[in-house]
Amino acid sequence: MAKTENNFAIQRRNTIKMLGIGSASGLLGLFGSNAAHAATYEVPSYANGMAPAKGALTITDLKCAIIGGSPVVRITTNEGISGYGQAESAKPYLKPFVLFYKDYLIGEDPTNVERVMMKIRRMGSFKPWGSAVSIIETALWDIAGKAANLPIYKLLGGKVRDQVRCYGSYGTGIRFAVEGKTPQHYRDWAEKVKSSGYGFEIIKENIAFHGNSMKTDPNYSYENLSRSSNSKRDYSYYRGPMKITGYKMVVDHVEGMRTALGDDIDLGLDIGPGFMLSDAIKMANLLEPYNICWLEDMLTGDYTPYVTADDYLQLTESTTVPIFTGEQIYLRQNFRELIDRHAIDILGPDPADMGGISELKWVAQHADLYGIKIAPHGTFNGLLGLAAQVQVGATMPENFIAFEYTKAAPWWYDIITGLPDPIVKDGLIDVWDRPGLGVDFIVKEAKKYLSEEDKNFFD
Amino acid sequence: MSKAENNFAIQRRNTIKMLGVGSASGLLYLFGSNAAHAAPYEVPSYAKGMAPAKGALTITDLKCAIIGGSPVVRITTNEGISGYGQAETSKNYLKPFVLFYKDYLIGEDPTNVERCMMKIRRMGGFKPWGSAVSAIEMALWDIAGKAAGLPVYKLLGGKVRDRVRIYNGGVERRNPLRASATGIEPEDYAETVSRMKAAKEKFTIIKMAIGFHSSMGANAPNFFYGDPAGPKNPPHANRGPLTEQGLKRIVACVEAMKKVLGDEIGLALDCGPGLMLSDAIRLAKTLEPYNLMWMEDMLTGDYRPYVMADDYLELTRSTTVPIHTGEQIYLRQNFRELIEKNAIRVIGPDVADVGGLAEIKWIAEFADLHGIQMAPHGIFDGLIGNAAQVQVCATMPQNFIAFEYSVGNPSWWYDIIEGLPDPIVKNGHIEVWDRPGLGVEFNVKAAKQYLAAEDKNFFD
Repeated sequence: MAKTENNFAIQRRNTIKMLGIGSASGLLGLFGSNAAHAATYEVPSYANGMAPAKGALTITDLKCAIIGGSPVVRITTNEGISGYGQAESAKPYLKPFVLFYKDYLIGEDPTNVERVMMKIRRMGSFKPWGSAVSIIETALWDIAGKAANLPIYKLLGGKVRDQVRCYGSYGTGIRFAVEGKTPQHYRDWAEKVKSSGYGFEIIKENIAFHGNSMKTDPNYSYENLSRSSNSKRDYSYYRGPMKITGYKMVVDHVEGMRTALGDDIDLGLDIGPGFMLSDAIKMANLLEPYNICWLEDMLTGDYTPYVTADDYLQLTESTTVPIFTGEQIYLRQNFRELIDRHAIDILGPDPADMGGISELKWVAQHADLYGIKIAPHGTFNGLLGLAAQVQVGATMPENFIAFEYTKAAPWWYDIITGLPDPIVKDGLIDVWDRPGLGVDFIVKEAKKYLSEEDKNFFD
Repeated sequence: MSKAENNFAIQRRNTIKMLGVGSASGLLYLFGSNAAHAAPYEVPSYAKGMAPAKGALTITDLKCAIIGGSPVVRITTNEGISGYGQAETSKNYLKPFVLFYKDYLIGEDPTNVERCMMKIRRMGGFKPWGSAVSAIEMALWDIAGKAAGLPVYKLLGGKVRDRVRIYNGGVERRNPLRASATGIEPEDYAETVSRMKAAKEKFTIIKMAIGFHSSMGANAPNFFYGDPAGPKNPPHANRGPLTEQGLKRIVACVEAMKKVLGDEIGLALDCGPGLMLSDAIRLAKTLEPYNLMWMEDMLTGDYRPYVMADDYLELTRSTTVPIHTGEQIYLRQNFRELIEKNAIRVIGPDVADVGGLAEIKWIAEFADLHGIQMAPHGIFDGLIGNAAQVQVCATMPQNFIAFEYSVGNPSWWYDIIEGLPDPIVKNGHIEVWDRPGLGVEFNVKAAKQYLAAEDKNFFD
């Protein structure tokens, strides 16, 4: 025992004796009460982790504003430090859901992130009902970093890489339509991808059940749910047995893209959910010759509030193509089976949905113990989400591939300060060292984008 | 084939012939279009269930009011029929969450319950984030039953029992002389179950909160090797290694209860969540002599958004006490592992959290296929929730034990809901009624006085 620790131990015993209380639980109760503060004995610093001591940083408010369709959370403290987090865009309905957690947080010490999260983590669920908890976690880390004057990565164990790799996809603005089906069309498409300016080494395309056109082609599958007139407002997804012609469509398209890209750029495919298990096995096997980087969410994925790990196990064991899932999964407990059983090759948790950045780091380490790779989802996470990905991405083990880059509407770059310029160089982002997330709102500019009901968000 | 059915078959063949359409799907498409209505042949009644025909029942609105702390959903239709569903009490924060689904349902035919549910079912989660979807499903069945002039149980496959057993998870549990919840000493437990046993409902099974599910975690000295969580936490926050004194306290309380209940009344325990796996095994083994009905939620349960089936498998295989869980679990997919591996002996999905009546019925049959029993949760589901439980539990296989009875709280709920039997409970059972839909209705005039200002148009 170090000398300082020893002193604390003695002091603690004395304190217990003087208060005449034998149980640790009684002691804890008192430290949180006025009686403890009135005592002439100072609260020992080891107790700061147990209950907020007088003078500690405490949470004074939790606010949520919808900025450009993105729910943004702001946690304020008694010392003027604020922390921010951002959920996926186009989800204004999350606002009351974010505010639900407010009462649990007021008065807590935001720098004991885990203590605060233990209170609310249980009250979330699969995507999108875990996003509020997740972005609150990020905001807490933002505060903790600012309070310690350290970038978040230092509080997550330190960075193991100076640059974080990202990959391009839907939200990146590098998705260009393939205009036709000749080799020249695919070559034109590949040229556009390569000259996008980001230098991504990996891109991800939507296809099959995850794409828009193929799944609605009558030659694609046998699925025939009756779609209602307001089908845009319909979360039932295309899911059903494949047709031979459907397999051919997918294979032809992949062959065209793969051939045109050459070996320079890896190609991941967001391909479901919607496949029946045996069809997924057949599809993956048909795609083996094309060196696909991964096949994502074939069985479950976007907005399926369950995992079905046993099915993924069969799929994964059936093919050499890396099988990928995870964006909708909330908390380590729901990843456990996928990892423990080697039911998956690559996991793509989203830090804005799975419980936050420290949860992502933990799951990445768990996955690494089993040789499973990590490629975090994040296509709609916005600029604050991007900053969170850089911070946690810098700390993950060697199983880290890349995170999904997110691009925001142009005006977002006018209201957020702290990002490098350009952000991405050769598919990599330099890790910055500013405290917290290292990005902040330019309040004067950002205020212009607040709706009437959110107008006090920055006050 | 009966004569009437035969006529339909002939009529169908003729219709297909006359339209010159060979495939049933082509036929289906036409029935939904104006072309079909322009034809001089009437849409046969069997086709009405297949696709919304012109003039079909459609959803016009979805409303949510907080009545006595309970989120109540009302779905209205173009033909004046309304359906109602209810989520757990003390959850007024669910209102915006219920309304989230509104836009997805307007214009749908509520009598194709599954089609409506397919649109929204994926957009729910573990308790309480599956309750809105579940309460909506309840309301859809209410409409479908009313539209058909049938009780909901007939649309779920028909009843297999005329009365449904219930268990007592809270009636007369609190001691009116104590300000706080049930005490934590053996004599408190004995006294409480005496009162529960004497309840006019004559329950045949009583469930008591004990261990981390009771206030032992917070109040019992030296109960576990951890510090009690503070008051500003979601429910059931304590979790940690159990002390020997903690173990002995639980055993002493169980013994005291069994002395009162004897072998006439089954005793079930709501134990957690919060026990570590090895403590759960030790506790269950220790309690084996007491012939418990089940031990509930020892590892996960209330507000734990995960299942941990492998841990339950070890626990279940370690003891003869039936291990129970499931109230927080959403959808059949999340029950799959527990059931297929026999990782559990009894499951307790809540009709107002699991995804609705049809979902719990399906799970009950899946559980039966594996020899797993059903004891649905529902203590806070309210009177509409009770009605839903009666309807669906009447249809469950023989693996059904009993559902958890919910009282109207506040008691004025009995003044605003009509259609329940009087008395509701006889000898620990509720007789299944035959009125259309859920078979209970609001007395609108009486109910209106309990509406908040912002909900004042709820019944309009």
